[in-house]
Amino acid sequence: MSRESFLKRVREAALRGRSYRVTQDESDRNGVDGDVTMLPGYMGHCDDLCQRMADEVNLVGGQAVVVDDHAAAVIAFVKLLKQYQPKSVFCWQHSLLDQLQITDTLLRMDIEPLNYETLKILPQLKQREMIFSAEMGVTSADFAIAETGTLAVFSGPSQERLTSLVPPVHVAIVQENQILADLYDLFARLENLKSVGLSSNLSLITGPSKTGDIDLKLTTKVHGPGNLHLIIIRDEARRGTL
Amino acid sequence: MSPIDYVRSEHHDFLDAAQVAMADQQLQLVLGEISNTLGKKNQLAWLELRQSDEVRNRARQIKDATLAHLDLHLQTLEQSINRSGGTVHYADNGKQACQMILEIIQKHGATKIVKSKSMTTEEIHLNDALQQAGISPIETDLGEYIIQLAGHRPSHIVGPSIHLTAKDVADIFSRDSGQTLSDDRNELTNYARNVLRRRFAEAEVGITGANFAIAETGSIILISNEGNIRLTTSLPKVHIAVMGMEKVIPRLSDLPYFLKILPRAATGQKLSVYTSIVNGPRKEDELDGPDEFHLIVLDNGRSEILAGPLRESLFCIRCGACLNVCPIYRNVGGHAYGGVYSGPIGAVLTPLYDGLQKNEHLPQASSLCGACQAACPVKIAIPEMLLKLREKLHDEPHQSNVMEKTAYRLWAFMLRRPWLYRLSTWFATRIVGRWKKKSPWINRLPGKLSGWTESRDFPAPAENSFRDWWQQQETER
Repeated sequence: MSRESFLKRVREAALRGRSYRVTQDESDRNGVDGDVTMLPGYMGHCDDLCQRMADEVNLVGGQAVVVDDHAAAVIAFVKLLKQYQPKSVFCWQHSLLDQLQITDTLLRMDIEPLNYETLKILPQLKQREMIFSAEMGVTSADFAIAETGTLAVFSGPSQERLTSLVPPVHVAIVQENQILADLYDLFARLENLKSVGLSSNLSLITGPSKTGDIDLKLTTKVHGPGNLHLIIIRDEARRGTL
Repeated sequence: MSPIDYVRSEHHDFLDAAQVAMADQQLQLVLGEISNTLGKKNQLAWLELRQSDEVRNRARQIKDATLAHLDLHLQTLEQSINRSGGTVHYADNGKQACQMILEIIQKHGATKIVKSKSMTTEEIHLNDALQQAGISPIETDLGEYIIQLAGHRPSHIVGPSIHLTAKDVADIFSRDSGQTLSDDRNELTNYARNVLRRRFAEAEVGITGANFAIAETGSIILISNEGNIRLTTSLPKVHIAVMGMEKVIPRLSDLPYFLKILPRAATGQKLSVYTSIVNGPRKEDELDGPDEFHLIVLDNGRSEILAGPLRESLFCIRCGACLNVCPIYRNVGGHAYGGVYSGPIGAVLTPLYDGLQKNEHLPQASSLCGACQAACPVKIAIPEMLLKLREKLHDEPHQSNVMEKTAYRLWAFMLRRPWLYRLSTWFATRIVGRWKKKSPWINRLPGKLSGWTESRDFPAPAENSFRDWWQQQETER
C-alpha cells in the first residue's frame, strides 16, 4: 500500500536526518499557553484596549469608532447605513447583534435583512444569488486582537464565512470584553476551546482586502471587502473614566 | 534569446538569462523597489517585534524537532483530519499528486476549478496536468491570474507578476476581454475582481496550498491578503489542499510563533489580512464551506533532503524574505533562476529538486553575504548550504575544464618547490611589478584571463615581495 511505503520512507529519512539537527531538543519548551505576557514576542501591553484596537484597525485601512454604550453603537450603525444605502444586508445572528436589534433597525429603514434563518430554506443557488447581491455584511466577532487590529471569526450556522467576505462593505460590532491584548492571548483561549472542538473555519481578519501585485503599490478591494468598519462598545465599568 | 523566452521557460542557461535581466531597465527599476521597500521592511520588523530573535529561535526549534519525527506527526495529522471528516492522500512525487487530484475532480465530474496561489502546485506542474486532461483551472490570486493570462512564469515567491507594469497588465487584460482598460490600478483590480467572482460562484472544486498543518487538530493554515483563498475554501463543494510534507507542526500552540514572524518577514505586516485555520469540511448545518476536504501530502524529493546535510532547507516557510534582501536577486530577478523557486532559497531547492549538474550555476551565484540568513524568519543557514552544494558539485563526476585543471596542477607544482616559488615571485615583482609601476591596478588581463577583468580590476604585483620587505625590516633592526 502506497501509504505504508510513504511513511516508511519518511521514517527512515527522519532517522538518518537526525544527525544533521541544528538545535537542541528542549523538552520543556512550551507552546503558547498559560501566562502569555512572559513569552517572547508578546506585544500586548497597553492601557486602553478599545483605543488600541481602533488605532490598529485604522492603521491597516479599516475605519473604527469607539462608543460608550449600545445606544451610541446603533447610532453609529445607522450612520453607516445612510452612507452606503444598501438594499440588502447579510447578517450574522449573534447575541450582541440581537441586543442591538440590528434586524429591526434594517427593517425600519426598508432594508432587506438576510441571515441563516431566512436563507436556509432557500435552494443553494438562490442563497448564493442573494448573498452576492448584498451590499453590506454585518457580523460581531468571537474575539478581537488589539495588537494587530484583528477580528477572529469562527464559522457556524448563523455565523457564516461569506458574511465578512462577499459583500463589498463589512461592518463588525464588538464589545470591549471580547477584545484580547495579543495574538498569544487568542491561542491561549483556543487551548481551552480545543477540547470542545474547533469550528470548521476560524478566520483572522486584519483590515480590508488588499494586494501589492500591480506596481508594488497598495490597492484595496481585491476579492474581499474594500471597506471594513468596526464599532467598539466600551464596557460599563470603564465608561466615562477614560 | 529574447527576454520573453526566459520569462516563459523553466530551463535555460542562468548566465545568459542573468545578462538579459541586468540589461532590462524596467526590470532593474522594479527589483530596486522590492529591495528598498520589502527588504527594508523585513529589517525594521525584526526591530519592532519584542525579542524577535527568541521568537525566531523557538520557531526554528519547532521545525527542527518536528522533522526528527516527521512520520509520527504526519500520522497524527492524518488521524485528526479523519476525525473532522477529511481525507489525507500521500503522494510520492508530483506526477502521483496530479493523478490523485485529477481522480478527485473526475469522481465529481467537475470541470470548473478555481485555484489560489500555491508554489507547491507550481512545483508539481498541476495546471499542465489538468489541462492535458481537458480541465482549465482558473488562478484567482491577482498576480497568478495576470501571469496565467500572459503565459509567464512567476518571478517572485510572494508577488509572481511584479516583473510586469500596470500598463503591461492593462494590455493583458484588454487583450483577454476585448475591452480597452486603462493602466489605473483600481480599475484593473476591479476588472479582475468581477471576472473572478463569477468563476468563484460557479466553481465546483477549489485547490489551495497550505502554509502549515497542525497535527494535533488536523488544521490547515492559509495566509493571504486578497481574500481569494477564503472564497476558494468557502464556495466550491470540494476543497483540495496540496502541501509539502515538511509543513506540518505538532500543536496548535506552536502556530502563533510562526504567525508572528512570517508576515513580518515577508512584507513587514504584523498579520496578513486573512489568516484562516481550516478544520475539515463544513459542519452539518452550515450554509457555506465545502462538503469534502482532501489534503495531498507531497514528498517529491523531500525525504531525500530530510535524510541529508541540507535538511535545514526544509525549515523554509516560503515567505520570500530572502529574495527581498539578496544582492543577486536584486540584479537578476526571479526568471533567471529557472525552476519554480528563485532567490537564495531557490538556489538551494532547485538543484535539489531538479538536479545539481543541470543547475550548476545557482549555488555559485552567491557572494555568501548572509543577508538571506539574517532576513530568514527561521534563520536558515543558506550560505552554508550553498557551500555544501558547491562541494557536492566538485565531488560529483563532471566535465572538467582542461585549462583550469592544468592551471591548478602548475600551481601545485610550483608551491611544492620553494626555490621555484621564490623565482616566480622575483619575476612577478622585479619584472612585472616594476614595469607596471604606474598603477596599482591592472584593468585588462590578457587572453583567456580577460573574463576576470570584465567587471573589475586585478591588483598589480607590488614592486617588492613580502619576503623582501621582511628581510629589510629584520636587517634594519
